[in-house]
Amino acid sequence: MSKSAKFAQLIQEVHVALAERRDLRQRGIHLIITHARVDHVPGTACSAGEMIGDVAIGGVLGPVSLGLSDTSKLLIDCFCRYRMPLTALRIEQIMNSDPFYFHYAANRIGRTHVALPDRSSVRVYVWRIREQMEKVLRELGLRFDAQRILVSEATETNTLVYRLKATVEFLHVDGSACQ
Amino acid sequence: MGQILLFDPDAEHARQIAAAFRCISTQTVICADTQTAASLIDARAFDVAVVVALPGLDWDLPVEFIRHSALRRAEPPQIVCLLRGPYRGPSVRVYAARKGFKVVYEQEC
Repeated sequence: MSKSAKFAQLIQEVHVALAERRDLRQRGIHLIITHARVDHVPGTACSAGEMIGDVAIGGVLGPVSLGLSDTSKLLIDCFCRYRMPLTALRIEQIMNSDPFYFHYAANRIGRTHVALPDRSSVRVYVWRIREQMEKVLRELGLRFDAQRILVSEATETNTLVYRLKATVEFLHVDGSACQ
Repeated sequence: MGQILLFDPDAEHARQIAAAFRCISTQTVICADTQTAASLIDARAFDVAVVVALPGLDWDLPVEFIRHSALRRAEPPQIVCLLRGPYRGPSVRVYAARKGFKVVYEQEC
């Protein structure tokens, strides 16, 4: 057996590990957002009245929930659906105009009011989401700077914009279990 | 170019692995003791740390030592353990998956 064949499995494993690392740097983590609605029609898009059941990190052994509050889930969902750098003001406008957020959880039985992030609270929620992400990633043995996932950047006029660097997948499930 | 730290107490074996890594365009730094490995991990960023473990019950000691050094870094290297000797059953890989590193066996000559 040649020397390279002797180490073939090791070389493959290291090659994959290097590729995974490059991929993680370029595209960020993978998020799975689960939307829940009692009367959701499979194959249709997200609609007003749905709830965000969970935001989880994928790409590990199984999806691992980030354990976010309703308001933080709304914010993450907004970054995932709009896929562009957003200012705090733009986020507030989206929350007050997009029917998905404006009528958020309208079909939920019981407590229906969820505080929508506004321009003054976005910064606080972004900080909380990053803290929670780092905690969960640490528990998974993945030390990854959350500021490189939920990125804040200053524009040329010094306005702060937020951008999510992650691949995202939306799941729609029967929401009766999430009421 | 990928930066690899190779911990292997057997110098000749380490040289062979480093030569084999050339086919995937990597820069390999070799060390033979865990203290040097820990110092290197503290000093510079590696993408992957390959830990060669010799047959025996305490194969995981150098891996754990290097893993703990790696976890102190903001972006720790992915650890891959190369086990020499016979296959030891699935429990080794299950243990490694739980601890967040990978295990491969050296092919028998």
